[in-house]
Amino acid sequence: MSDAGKAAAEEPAWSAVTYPMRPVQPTLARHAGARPTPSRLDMSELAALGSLPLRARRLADAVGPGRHRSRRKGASVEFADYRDYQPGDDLRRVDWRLYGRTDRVQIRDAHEETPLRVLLLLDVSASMIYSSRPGLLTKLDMARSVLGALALLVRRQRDACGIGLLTDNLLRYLPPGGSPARLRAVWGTLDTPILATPTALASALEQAVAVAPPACLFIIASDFYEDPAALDAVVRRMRFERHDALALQVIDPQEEDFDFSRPVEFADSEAPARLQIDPVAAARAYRSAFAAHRHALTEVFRGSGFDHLALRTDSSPLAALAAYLARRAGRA
Amino acid sequence: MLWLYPGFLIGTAAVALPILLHLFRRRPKRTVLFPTLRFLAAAAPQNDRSKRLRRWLVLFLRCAVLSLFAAAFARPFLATSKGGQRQAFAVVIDNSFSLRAGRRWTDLRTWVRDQIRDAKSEDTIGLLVMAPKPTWIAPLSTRRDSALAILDTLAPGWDTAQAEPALRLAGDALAATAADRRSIVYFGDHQRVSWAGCDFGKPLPPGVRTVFPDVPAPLARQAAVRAPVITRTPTGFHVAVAIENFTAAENRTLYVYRDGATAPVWRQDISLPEREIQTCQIDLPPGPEGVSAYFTVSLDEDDLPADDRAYGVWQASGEHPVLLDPTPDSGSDYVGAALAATAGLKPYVQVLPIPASAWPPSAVAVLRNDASFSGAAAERLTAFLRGGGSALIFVGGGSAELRWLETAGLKMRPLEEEGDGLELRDWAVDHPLVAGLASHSASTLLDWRFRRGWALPTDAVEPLALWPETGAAIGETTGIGGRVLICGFGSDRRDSDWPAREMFVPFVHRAVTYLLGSPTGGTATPAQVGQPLPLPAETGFWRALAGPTAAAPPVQAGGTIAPNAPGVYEFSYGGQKKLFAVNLPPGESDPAPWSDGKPWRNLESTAHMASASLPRVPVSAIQAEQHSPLWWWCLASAAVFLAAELAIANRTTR
Repeated sequence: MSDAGKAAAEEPAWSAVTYPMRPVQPTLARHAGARPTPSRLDMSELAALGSLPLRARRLADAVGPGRHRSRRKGASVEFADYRDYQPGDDLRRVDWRLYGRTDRVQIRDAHEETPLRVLLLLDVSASMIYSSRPGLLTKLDMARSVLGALALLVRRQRDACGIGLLTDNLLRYLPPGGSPARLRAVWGTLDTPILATPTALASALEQAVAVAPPACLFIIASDFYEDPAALDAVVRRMRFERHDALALQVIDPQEEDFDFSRPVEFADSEAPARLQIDPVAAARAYRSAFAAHRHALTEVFRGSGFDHLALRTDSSPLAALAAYLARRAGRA
Repeated sequence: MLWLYPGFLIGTAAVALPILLHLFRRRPKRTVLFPTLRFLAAAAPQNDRSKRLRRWLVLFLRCAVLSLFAAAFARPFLATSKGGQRQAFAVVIDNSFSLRAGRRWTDLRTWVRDQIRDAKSEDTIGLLVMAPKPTWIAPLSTRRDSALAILDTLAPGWDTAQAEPALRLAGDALAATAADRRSIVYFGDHQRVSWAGCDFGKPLPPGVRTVFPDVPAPLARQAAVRAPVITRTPTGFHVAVAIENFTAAENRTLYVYRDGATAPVWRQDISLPEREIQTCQIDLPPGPEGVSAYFTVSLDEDDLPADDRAYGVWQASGEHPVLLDPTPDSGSDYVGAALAATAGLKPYVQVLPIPASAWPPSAVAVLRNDASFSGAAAERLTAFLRGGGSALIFVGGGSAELRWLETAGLKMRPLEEEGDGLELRDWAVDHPLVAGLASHSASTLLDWRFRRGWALPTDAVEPLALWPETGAAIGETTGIGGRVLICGFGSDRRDSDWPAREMFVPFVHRAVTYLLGSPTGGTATPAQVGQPLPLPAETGFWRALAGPTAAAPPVQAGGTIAPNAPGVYEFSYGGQKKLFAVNLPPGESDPAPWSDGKPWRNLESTAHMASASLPRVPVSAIQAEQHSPLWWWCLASAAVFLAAELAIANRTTR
């Protein structure tokens, strides 16, 4: 029995607030090359951690140190391959020792060490400020924690990290940077108090794509209450501009399960609309519509080769971090 | 649309329940701020709009189901008559002779026609007269013209009348109708005697309204001549007549006519004191010889001429033979003693022993000895009865007696006392004999108790009184020939103390008198209008010699007759003639109206008709409802709606 199996056997049954790390999606796991070490994360403990840096570090520590290798080839110390000299090539890259042995003029290619530009995009619309029961993080706090932890991981891997806040437009933007001060700036931006505003996610993403440097990894934390067709356009543009993306759909359990038992009046957090319905009667239709939306989102992102991951606020977010690492490994 | 049982429509009030449920149904009290309603909006519009529609539909269906159930129980049917309220009028007519005063009758008739002038063709009208007893002369029906025609031809009678029985009868009849408006129209003069004894505290049935005319103007001149007493004197006739004046003192002229002559045999001016009775003693000459004579005593006419004339009869009467058989034992002869005690009363009787030869058919045989029913005596008895003789038989239980009675079709059944003895009950009080016995006090019919008796078959005799269980105790039959009164008990004290009681002598006397065919009390107490008069058993002709009906043709009669007009009547039978004087009831002559307010207004019930009485359904309505069974459609519709409600309500709550 493996260590993880032994630990699972010794552990008591899952409590209401203790969750195992979700397995990484198979596609991401393939890219990662190895499964992340299963770990335990107490969500109530995480919620009790008041500040974002603490939560971020707790999460980053839970997923372990990330490592990646760039698959770009270039002028680096680590050998990659030989190729024939072509006019125009830098003569300094010719392997003269090989020429002395074989009379062949070969260019020595090496793995190029390029920093990864990660742009964290946080949806700070009013719909994110929702928690269905006490003890649960709001969707916004969950997203902040995950993105903060990702920023730390990015920093540890010496990649560049930027941040953008999305509402109905790109509210605030810090371009990716690799300095230690950037991490604090990112955390500070994540912690910015926000005003409840309606969402126009596709429009805000368009603005982010427009200002982002080339070949960024967009990590978008949102509830994605946007028309999938509108999102599809901007996601395709990301793909066209050789960006990579990881969509983290933050979901409160009540949004997914919709297990209200008594008639209530629902008020839209982003619109003045109110609705009196019998939730028991409407639950089936709601769940169906929600699942269809989620499926459409998955199709939108996967259609462009990106990943879409759902994060329940009552579940461990380590899967999101693992997904990032997998994505990072794939980019390397 | 009409309803057979509209009371069930109260059930439609139950629709308030689903309406209240709809209005006060559970509404969400909690508001939940939710990230987005986009997915709810996808389900909610149909959820909300269709649910709202369904809720209204469910409300409608529930109300419809309840209403249809109530309608089905109320049994609807299509109207076959014109719209509007239906009315029923019962005209209660005081047809006593006091209405003959002045223009009272015609004025009241006009007033009544005004009251029912608005009656429509579908309204019902009935005419009920009070005297001699409440009788529908035009039952409640929609034949308005027919009723009015009867009313036009109707004239006041000669009797007295009581208002209450007729009003109660009319009220009950009206309450049984399905009319929306039920009215009693009183056709009367509010005379005190007609309201006497009325229980004004007992209202008529609820829903019956009353319409009373005003009290008529008092009469200026009113006096009444009472029945004269005619006696034969050596010098002629003596007439004693009382005249009662009901108004102010005045001078009047009194006339006496004899045997229908138009010229008076006596004329006298008299002074009548105010509201007092004046008695006149008149001696008349003998006039033509004969066995009978009748006299008419009259006053000059006043405002009520009907009672200004009275009639008296004198009739020569001999001694009637009564054949009395020996007492069955050696004890006291109570029957003989009774006959002896009443020998001084008319009709005079001569008590004779049973003869050994044929019995005279004009005699009355009083039999109580078993020997009278055996052998030759039995044959003579049978022949006597077949010849028209009458008999009073006290059944002593002798074998010959019972055998003879059984031969005559009267199989007697012996009865033994149980407990307090055998007491007679169910007296036929309208029989002349019984009516005479009870005329002064009904107590004479009480406590006739015997230790032993014999029950007469009720199908073979006319019962005058019954035994406690079955069978007649006293019965009359003419099946054997003459009139026979049979008492199912003995006349001595072996079976009862009755012969020693005070009712024994009057019974024997009146029974013999009755069998002799004479009116009880003789000529001294002339009959009144409406009273039954005992006639000889033989069939004869009855005709009026004087009085309002003098011109009427003779009618065949026998047994009893109740004359309905005053006058002198002659009954001719078997070559004999008997005269009867019939006069008006005295109380009716007093024209004084009821003086203590107008209490008849209290007769109208203040109770609400719908709450106090169940609606009576006329047969026509039931038939109309049966021809159009809409209740079935109501039930079927309710069932369909109920099924729809269940389906939709389940979807609404799912």
